[in-house]
Amino acid sequence: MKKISKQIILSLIFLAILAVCLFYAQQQLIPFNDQDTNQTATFYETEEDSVDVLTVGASSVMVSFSPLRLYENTGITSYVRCSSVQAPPVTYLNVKESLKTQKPKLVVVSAYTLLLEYDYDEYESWLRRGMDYKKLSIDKIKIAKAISDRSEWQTTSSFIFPILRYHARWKNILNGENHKEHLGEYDYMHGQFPVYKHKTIEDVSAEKMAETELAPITDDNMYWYDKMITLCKENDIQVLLLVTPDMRWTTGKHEALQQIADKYDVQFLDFNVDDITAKCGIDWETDFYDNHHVNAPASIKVTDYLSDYIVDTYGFGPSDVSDSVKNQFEEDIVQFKKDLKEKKCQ
Amino acid sequence: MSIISLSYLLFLCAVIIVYYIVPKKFQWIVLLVSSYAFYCTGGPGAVGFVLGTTLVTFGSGILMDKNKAKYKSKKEAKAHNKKILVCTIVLIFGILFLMKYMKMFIPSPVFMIVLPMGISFYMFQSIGYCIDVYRNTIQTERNLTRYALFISFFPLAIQGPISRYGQLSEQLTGEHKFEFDNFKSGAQLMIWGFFKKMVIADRLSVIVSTVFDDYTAYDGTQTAVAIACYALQIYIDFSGGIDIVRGAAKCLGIDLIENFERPYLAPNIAEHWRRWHIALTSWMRDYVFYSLALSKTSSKIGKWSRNHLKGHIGKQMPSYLPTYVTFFLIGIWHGAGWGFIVFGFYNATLIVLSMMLEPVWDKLNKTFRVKTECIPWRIWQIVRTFIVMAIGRSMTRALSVGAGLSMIGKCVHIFDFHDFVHRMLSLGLDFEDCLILALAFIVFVCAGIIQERGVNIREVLATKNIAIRWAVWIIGILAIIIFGMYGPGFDASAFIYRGF
Repeated sequence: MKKISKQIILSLIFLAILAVCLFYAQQQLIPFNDQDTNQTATFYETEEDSVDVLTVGASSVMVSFSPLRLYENTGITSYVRCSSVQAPPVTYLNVKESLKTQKPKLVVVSAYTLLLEYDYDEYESWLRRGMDYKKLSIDKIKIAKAISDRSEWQTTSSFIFPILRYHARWKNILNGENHKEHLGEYDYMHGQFPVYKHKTIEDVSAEKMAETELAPITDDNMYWYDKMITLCKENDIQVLLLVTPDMRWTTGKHEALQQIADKYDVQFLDFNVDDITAKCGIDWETDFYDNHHVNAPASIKVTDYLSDYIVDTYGFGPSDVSDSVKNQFEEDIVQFKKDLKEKKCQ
Repeated sequence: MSIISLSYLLFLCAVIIVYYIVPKKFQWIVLLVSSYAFYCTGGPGAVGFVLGTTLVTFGSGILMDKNKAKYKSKKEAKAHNKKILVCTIVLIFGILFLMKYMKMFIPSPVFMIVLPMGISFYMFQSIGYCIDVYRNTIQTERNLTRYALFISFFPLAIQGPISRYGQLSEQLTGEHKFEFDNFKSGAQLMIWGFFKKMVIADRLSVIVSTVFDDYTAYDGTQTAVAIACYALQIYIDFSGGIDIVRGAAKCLGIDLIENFERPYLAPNIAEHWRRWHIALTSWMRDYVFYSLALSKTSSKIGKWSRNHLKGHIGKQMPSYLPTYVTFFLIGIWHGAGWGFIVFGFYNATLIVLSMMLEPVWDKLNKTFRVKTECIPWRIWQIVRTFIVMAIGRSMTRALSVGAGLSMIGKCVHIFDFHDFVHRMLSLGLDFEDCLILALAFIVFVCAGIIQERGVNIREVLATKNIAIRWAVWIIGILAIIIFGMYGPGFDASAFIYRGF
């Protein structure tokens, strides 16, 4: 009996040492994107019940929605948990996971990916940026399983143990490619990724909006958005489907999303119709860095409009948060304004 | 289910836990249920074929046993049993022929089917059982479920080794107490197998595929390197898989035969085949070669040759035809293609020639006073044997016999070392991968040389300080996980021998 106990103890110690070594190796091999990692890490450190507006979805809202500007305008706290080409199951996971520590009054969803025929293998790199930095949980494992079911070669185990996916990156590390200057820093933008660039885009919005063919929505996308909206309603959370200024937008796409909004009795705000873009003062020459992402100065315009919309539509007042949260926002606004002044859009 | 997948490891862990928890008398039932569960992962066809083979060969054994009791004359019983045995062999191997080889002659979609998992292994295993029953070398198994376990034992499903009923059945149905040392030994063997397969063999396969699949684009030196790599890849891949299989069985307290004994350290072809895929070659030796060599026809040939041919050739001649038949079968067992047939005949010819010319070499060595009991001579023998075997094996990988011959022909221009490094780095592996391959291969070679001297490395490690032991195994596991060729972009799970 003594011998068996000794063998068990030694085995457990061996496994523990092995686990530590594997974890350390894994942390060296994961290609931490500093922006996505910091966005997620800072959210986890955010004080509980201090986020009134949660934004999820793809990059078009990630660059254009400014939590700092929203707070400055209205006193409403918010956080952006968007990522590039965010997969619908990841959008759902972001909401589900956030509800463990936050009780938002409103979830703003970038509805762009609802219309995207999502190829889980082609978009793997973006998909992993939305998944890899999340804490391991039953919800994450379920979403990993859902992703692997929709993928030809991605596996659930590679999301649980990212080393299985990134093991070949030892060469990148040997070549010094793993160094990330800003990794581990506090995300003072509260999840927004403002882009300080501009590119003159030919204004073809009128032409695109003339396309009226109803945009298709895949059953799979709808399944995830249904889950997300249902989850929000069960938790008395309002939902806003949002589409930001986008040169590729069509009336057909608008109609498709409007039908979804009507079906689920949620609000739908499309910056591309009813001249909202003009009302915001969006300038196609200076406010975009590609044909569907606005730059940092334009995100101010978008958020200003959104601030009034949220207050008028939902009747929210300033968030009831602690002084430390308020102070943090004030500090972060100062930094953001400094960035806007110093980083000129090239 | 691939044996280098996480799901296989989880499956194995679950089986081991249940195996040692249940009362010992039910352990064999756990193995039977888990073996069939494993075959279920291969689809209904996989289960159907293993079950069908089990029922047919079990029935054959029972019938032969009944005949032994029924007929008073042993000769009469043997005559009847021979008919049963022949029918069984024709049926079982007939099905194998239709599924595996018919497409060589009739390229119809009907015959282009994926072979059920492990079919080549368990069919040979079951026929071996029937022949042993016929020869009275074993007692007939009268319990269908125990026999079914022998045929379907899951660690053997993917790549054998082909086991003998007399060696394995008692272990499978016996009672096994959990021995930590067994478990440790099994786990360590599996780690070594994973290392060989995933770090070395799968890297070699990149070079092999790059050159073999587009052989006209590469020069003599590059082709020679690829041929050598293939010879190593097939050995390391297969032996790695066998180590994983043996390790899994060892965790269950079951010892399987060692299928390889460092064949590339053999001094000659015959010795190479005594060390290579021992399960198959011994099966062929015991059930094909000896049957033919000891037959009446062979005896007649022997009589004629001793009377009409001088010297040792006269004595050896009865073994030439059985050698050709045996190696023909070994060749086609490995694959349904002309390259495999050429491979079989090539090896048979080499062995026959070496037998014929043995006195000539002995005389030459004596005449020129060649010292044959020294390390340089031993190295020469090893290198010579490796080159000869590599050339033969390349025919089984080449796109066609013509392509294989063309590749071998190119190797005449092997001594062209201009821009050597750059040319080697254009064979599919970058510098970093080549470095890892070289380091891992050095570890592999050193381990082989130490083992060749009769040292059991795991036993020696077990005597070392705990920090050293743990460091070795942790580094091994880390090497597999980090440097293993698996994941997107790697076709790492396809064992070469899985297709058999």
